Amino acid sequence: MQTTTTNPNVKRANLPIWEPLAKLSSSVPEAWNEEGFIFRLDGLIFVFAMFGLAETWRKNRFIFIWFAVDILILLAWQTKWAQYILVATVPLSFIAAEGIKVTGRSIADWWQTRNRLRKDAVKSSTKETRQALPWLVPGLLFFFILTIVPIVYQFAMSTTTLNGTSLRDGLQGGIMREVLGGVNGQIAIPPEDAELDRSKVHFVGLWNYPETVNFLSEVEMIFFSYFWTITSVALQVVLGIGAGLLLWRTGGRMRKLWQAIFILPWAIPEAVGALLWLNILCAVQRLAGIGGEKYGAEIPFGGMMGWEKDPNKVLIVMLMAALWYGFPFIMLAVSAGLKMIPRDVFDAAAIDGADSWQTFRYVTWPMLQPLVLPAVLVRAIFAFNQFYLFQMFLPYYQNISMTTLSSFSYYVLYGGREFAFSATINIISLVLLSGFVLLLYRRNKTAEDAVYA
Amino acid sequence: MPKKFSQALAQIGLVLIGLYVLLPIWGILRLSFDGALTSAPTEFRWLPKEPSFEPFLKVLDRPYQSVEFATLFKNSMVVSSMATLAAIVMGTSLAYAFARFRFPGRKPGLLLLLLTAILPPIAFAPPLYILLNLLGIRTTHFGLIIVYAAFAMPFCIWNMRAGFQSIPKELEEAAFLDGASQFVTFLRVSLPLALPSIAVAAIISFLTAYSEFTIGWLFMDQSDMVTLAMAIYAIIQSGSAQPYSQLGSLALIVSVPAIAIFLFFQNTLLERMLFGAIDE
Repeated sequence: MQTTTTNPNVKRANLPIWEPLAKLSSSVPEAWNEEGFIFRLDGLIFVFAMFGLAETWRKNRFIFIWFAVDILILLAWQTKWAQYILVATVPLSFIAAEGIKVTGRSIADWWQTRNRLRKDAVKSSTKETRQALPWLVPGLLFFFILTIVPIVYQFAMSTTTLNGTSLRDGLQGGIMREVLGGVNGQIAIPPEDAELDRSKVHFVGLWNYPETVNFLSEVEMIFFSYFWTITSVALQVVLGIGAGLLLWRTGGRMRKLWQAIFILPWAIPEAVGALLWLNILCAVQRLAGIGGEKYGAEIPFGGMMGWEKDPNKVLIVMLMAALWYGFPFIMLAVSAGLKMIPRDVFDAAAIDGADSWQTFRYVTWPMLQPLVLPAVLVRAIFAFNQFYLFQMFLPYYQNISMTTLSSFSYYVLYGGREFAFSATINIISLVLLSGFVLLLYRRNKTAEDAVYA
Repeated sequence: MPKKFSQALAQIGLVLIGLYVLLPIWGILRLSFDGALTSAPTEFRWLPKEPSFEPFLKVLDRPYQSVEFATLFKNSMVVSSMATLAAIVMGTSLAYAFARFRFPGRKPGLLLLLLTAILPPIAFAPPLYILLNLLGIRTTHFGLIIVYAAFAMPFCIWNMRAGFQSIPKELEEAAFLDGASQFVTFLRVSLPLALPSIAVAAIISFLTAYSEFTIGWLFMDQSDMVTLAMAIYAIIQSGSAQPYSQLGSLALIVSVPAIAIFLFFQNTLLERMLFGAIDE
């Protein structure tokens, strides 16, 4: 791949391997071309394409392969200029069209089942509601004070310009003054270029949102959050299932010992775990300055020297640590699931002459699914929210394109004292997380309905 | 023969995963028992240069600046246990209501509860910072207790709800028919039966508060008010002023209780952390 370019700018740009995916999933930054596009829906199209992938594979394999080949070329090609992604936009659009159909169909399905269930559902009775009241009132009161009030207040903060400079005014009631005034219409949203008194809080309505979303997608942070969630959880699932199966085959006393060792990373608090990996990697980093020449690449992780300057290596480092944290949880779920499978099933598979892959694919995996899928979902939520790992490592590699929303929100708050900005990011991540909630809730409903059956 | 071969392969696989798991742990162990370090480590070593317990003893005396270990430990215990207690006590009645009664708005309420349970703690930090400041209690232990209780409460409610739900309704009805009031039934029948779930919720929220340090750090500004875990962050923030062997020792001391609890309750904790999403 050395010959793909001789342009020194390619090296200087230092773009990561996954850059084409980030560009494919986001619009052309406004600064590049302010008037060239009437609307920018690339993000939405990409999301629909993700929904449509499976259906396209089933219905129109040609388009799927066309898309896959384009993506592989883009990933392998050393030059990562943004315009190159145009080769993949046509198949992407076809797949997105399929995705829109799929989404529409599942919404219609959901609506129908909802209406059917609603007819059969046991209505909440007035009697029970009255019985519930003495339990609801105190509980809701506390929940309201501890959870809802902070979130609502945070939303209020996100409609202002509160930061370190205007903090004093904010603490003297400036936030409520501005927000209430703004909602009542007494305070007008100042125009973008207005000279504002920086020591005072100002109401800006919802204008922080488009600005923040634009910023987050231009630095590719939203893309990275999902990219990170998918890659890190995929690795955790592979190692978790692998370790679970290995343990299961070992059996006996050794199994207990290995299992106790393997779940250590799960038991260690995440912040301390980040510290452990930082210790290992910084030993390497410091060596690069002091003894690197002497030891060369022969020390452990020697090949990772200078990782903090190369985004690809940064991702490898972070994945290594995240895999370490995350695989034990999946492994435990796998172990718990394997215990429930009766031995006879495997004997039957063996008699039918199934090889080990077939046994796994058609016997083990289907029986593991009910336990492993929720574990994957929980790990995905953890990965999306991953905080301490990035919080500890970010000062070393200093690339905000490679961080999650929650750790970036911390930096904005702690380093920049941009309270309103941080609050806006938190509300945005709350919205993004609600997708996970629906997935979790759907899995939970079976158990939920059973109680009232 | 192939069976032996595949068994050997399995053993090699286990050893490799074991090495991967233990490597960073070994790294911190050798760091914390190295008496020769005076600041950050400058070279790579497999074994401590001068094995010694001194860093440990130093940490057990005064972990950072001149604050005593006992003070920090007390702060940790007070803050984490009070936050846990608050989250559990305040959450129980809502958990019970969600588990037992059908009332209007129950379903959206559950969704909201689940959403708040999976929010990252940092999502509560900016508003709590301002609100606690407005109340004038931001830098007190009471303020910190509120912060950690807010982090823990949604998850606790969600968990206790699952606990209450798994109790057969007939048991309560029987007590009710025997003439016990709603409250007595709850106190004598449901609460004792749900205790295991409540205990698990308590353990998880205790550990969260006990091992959290960066977000709590935002709220504190006096060195003798912080928790044990926050002392780790204090040492990191101070750069290389203190030997990293002490940082390592402190990290180990903080994690040991967590590790013990996880090893002991692994299966129960696994089930709880799946948000009850297992099909039974």
